[in-house]
Amino acid sequence: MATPTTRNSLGDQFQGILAAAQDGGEWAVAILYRWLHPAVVSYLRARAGDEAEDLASETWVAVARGLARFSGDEAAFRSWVFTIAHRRLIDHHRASARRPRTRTLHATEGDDYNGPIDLPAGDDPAREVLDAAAGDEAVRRIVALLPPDQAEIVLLRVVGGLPMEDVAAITGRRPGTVRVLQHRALKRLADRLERPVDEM
Amino acid sequence: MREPSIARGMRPNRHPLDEDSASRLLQGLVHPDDAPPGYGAVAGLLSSASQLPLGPVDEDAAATTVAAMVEMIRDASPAPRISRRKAMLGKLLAGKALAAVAVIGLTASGAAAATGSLPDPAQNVVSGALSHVGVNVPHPNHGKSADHRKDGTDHQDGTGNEAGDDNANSGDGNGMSTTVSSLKDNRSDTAGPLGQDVCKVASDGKCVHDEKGKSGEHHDSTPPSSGPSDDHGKSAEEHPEAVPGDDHATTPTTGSVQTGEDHSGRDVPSGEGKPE
Repeated sequence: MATPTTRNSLGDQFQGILAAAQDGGEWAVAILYRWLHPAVVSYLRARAGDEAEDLASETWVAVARGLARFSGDEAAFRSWVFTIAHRRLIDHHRASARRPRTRTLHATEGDDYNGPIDLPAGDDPAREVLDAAAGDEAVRRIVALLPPDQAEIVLLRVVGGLPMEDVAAITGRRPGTVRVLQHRALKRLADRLERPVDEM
Repeated sequence: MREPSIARGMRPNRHPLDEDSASRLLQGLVHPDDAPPGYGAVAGLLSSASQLPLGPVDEDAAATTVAAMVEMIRDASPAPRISRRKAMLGKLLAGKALAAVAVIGLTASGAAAATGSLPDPAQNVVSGALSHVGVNVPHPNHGKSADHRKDGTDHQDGTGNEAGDDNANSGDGNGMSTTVSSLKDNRSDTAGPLGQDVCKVASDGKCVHDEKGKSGEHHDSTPPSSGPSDDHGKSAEEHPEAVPGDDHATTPTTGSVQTGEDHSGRDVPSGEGKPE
């Protein structure tokens, strides 16, 4: 596996793209969508299973609705988008709780996740399919191995690429609490993954 | 790479994870070979989870979603800007219009009050209210009768009054008004008509007394609240130089309208004693 360098970033072009998107430029909106949609869907899929695509669409609609009023840098935009996705996820869970027959939380437990593999566009589709599969499989294992609160924080940090402070703000927890939870999550993952095969 | 355990059931040799290493792990930046002891597999897992490909998962869904987003942005963004601008412009114009109306109204009212052109009830109210703050505004009865003159003399504490101020300003009446005021206090019950004495004092003895001079006494006893009467008009007409009437000089318009001759025989400069 290649060593990851930096997370996908628009860099210095972000502000120009954002301004164009706020003016309704379709190309700019498409760039923003392609930039963050896979991470948003992956985060949502880990918690909402097959509902992830619908929740992602709702997230992007909300983004479009508030885009004209947004101001900030690339990290702030990423945090804002995941904040919206997190709220959609909470709404989804509340609605699911009111509909006991249609539970969609199986994916959060991981073992029965069997969703389709995304087909990303790019220069090397085969490679990206493999990466996507590897990424989805990794997310699935994280969700399977961790309690929901720890998995949520790890996904927001790893998949969403958000700093601890933003994760704390999104989840409504104190930064210290988030720090403790992510330490416990890493320790738990290490315990489970490093455990000798004959113990598993 | 999995670290060998020392014995069955024992945990791998794992160091405590420091803050920076945890942060780098969670960013997917740590290669498994570079991970802290015991965290190699974790680093690989988190690195894989962070390696999500660029690009949409479904081109059709992406095109649909992007088109919907663009439509929403274009529909939403221009309208509020225009409406906000219009709303702000409207507020500004409304505020300016209100301010202009208020200024014009106050100016017109002030001018009308200063010249005594307001209707009597309004003039009465304005005069009374402004007199408390030391602003001289003509009383509606100004020049109509000696009743006002009485206001100028009897309603005061003996140290001056609104009408008396006019005399003081004119430079010729301060001592005279004191003299006139003392006439009533010093006269006996058997004395003749007060008006005669007043007339003499005011005209330096040039006043010619006749029977109508009694009216001066009459209007001294007239309650201040009484309105203009024929007697008052006569009094003013027949004693055009009555000292208390000096304050008519402050209201040439009202005085001339109401009494006409009241100012004709006087030698008071028209600019003196005008309301400030």
